Amino acid sequence: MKKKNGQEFEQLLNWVEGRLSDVEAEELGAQLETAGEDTNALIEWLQKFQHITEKHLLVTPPDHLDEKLYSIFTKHTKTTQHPRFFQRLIAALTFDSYQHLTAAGIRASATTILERQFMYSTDLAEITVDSQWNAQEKSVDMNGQVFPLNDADETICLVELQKNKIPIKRTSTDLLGKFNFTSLAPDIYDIILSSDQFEIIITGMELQF
Amino acid sequence: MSSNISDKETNAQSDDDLIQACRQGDIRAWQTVVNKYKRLVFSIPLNYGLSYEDAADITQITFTIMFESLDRFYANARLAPWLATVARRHSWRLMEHYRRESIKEDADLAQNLITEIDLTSKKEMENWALLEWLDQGFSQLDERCGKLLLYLYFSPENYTYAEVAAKLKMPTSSVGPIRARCLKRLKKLLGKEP
Repeated sequence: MKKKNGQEFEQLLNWVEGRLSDVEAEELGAQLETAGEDTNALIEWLQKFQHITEKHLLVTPPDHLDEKLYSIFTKHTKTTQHPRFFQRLIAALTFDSYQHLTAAGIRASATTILERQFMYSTDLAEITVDSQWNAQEKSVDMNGQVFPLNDADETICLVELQKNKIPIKRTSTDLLGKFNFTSLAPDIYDIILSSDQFEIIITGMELQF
Repeated sequence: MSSNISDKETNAQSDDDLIQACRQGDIRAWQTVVNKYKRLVFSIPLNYGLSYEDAADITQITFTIMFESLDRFYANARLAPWLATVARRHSWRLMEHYRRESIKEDADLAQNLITEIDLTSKKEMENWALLEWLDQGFSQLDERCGKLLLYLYFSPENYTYAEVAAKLKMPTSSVGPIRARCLKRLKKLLGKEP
C-alpha cells in the first residue's frame, strides 16, 4: 500500500535516526532497495541533516538578553566621527613564550622547543604571532593576527616582512585580521603592518629555535 | 518572544532598509535587526565551546559594534556575514584569553604552548556558511516548529521527547510526528545547501 508523503517522510526520518525496531528497520531497508530517485534524494538529505545536527549548535538566546540588546540603541549616543590622521606606531613586545620558559627556569633546547609565540601591543591594536619550526624543511612558518582595540576599525592591512630593513615577503590580512608567512629561514625579522590610516612596526622578532 | 514585531515584518525588510532606518533613529528597525540575527550571533560562541554567559557577552559586544558601525556599511550590505565575522573574532579573542590564562596557571608549559585550534581552514569557513544557512531557514519557520526543532536537534542539552513536550506544552506522543512535519517544512524553506 502506498504511504502518504507525510507518513513516508516520518518513517524515513525515524529510520535515519535509528528509531525503528529491528524488524521495522529491516523491512524498510528491503523496500528501499528498489526505491525511486526522489526517495533516495530524501534519504540523502536526511542523512546530511543528521550530520549537520551533530556538528552545529543553534540556540535562541534567553529572553532577558533582548532588552539589553534593544537598549544598545537608546543608550549609545552617536558621535560625529573626527577625521583620522595617519598614525605610525612602534609595537611593544608584551609576551615571548621563549623568554617565559627561560624565566621559569626551564631549560629549552632546540630539539624540544618547536613553537614560539609573541604578543605585541600598540595604542591601535594588539598583534599575536605564532611561529613554528618545520624540522623537515628546517624552516619557520609564521601565523599572525591583528586585533584592533577599537573593534569598529578595519583589520585588513598590508603586511611586509623585512630582514635588515629589506622587504623580503608581502601579504595582506584577511577579513579577520589574520596573515601568515611560510618557509622562512630562522633569523630576526621586522614586520610592517600598514593601511590607509596607520603603520605599525614590529622590530627584532626572533624567529629562532 | 518579548518583541511585538512579527516574524513577517522581521523577514520582509532588507538589511539595507534596516540599516537606513537605524541611521534615521528608528528603534523598531534596530529591534528588527536584533530579532533577525540574535540567534546566529549567540550560537557562534557556543559552537566554539564557550559558555552561555560568554555567548551573552559576545552577543552584546557584537551588536554594540554593529551600532557603532552603522555609518560605515556600504549599500546592499549583508548583515549576517558581517555580524558572524565580528562574533567569531570576539570568540577567538576570548578563547585566546582563556588559553593564556591556562598557560600562566599550568606548570606543564611546553604542552600548553601548542596551538590546538585551526581557525583558517576551508572546512571552518564552510561550517559557518552552513550555520548562517540554517539560521535563515529557521527565521522563516513558524515559532512552534522552530522551537521544537531547535530543542531536538541543535541544542547542547540533548532534550528528550518528554522534556521537549513539557517545554512546548504538548503530549509527548505528538513530538515525533510534529517534528517530522516541521522538518519537512524546514527542508522546503532551506532549499539548496550553500
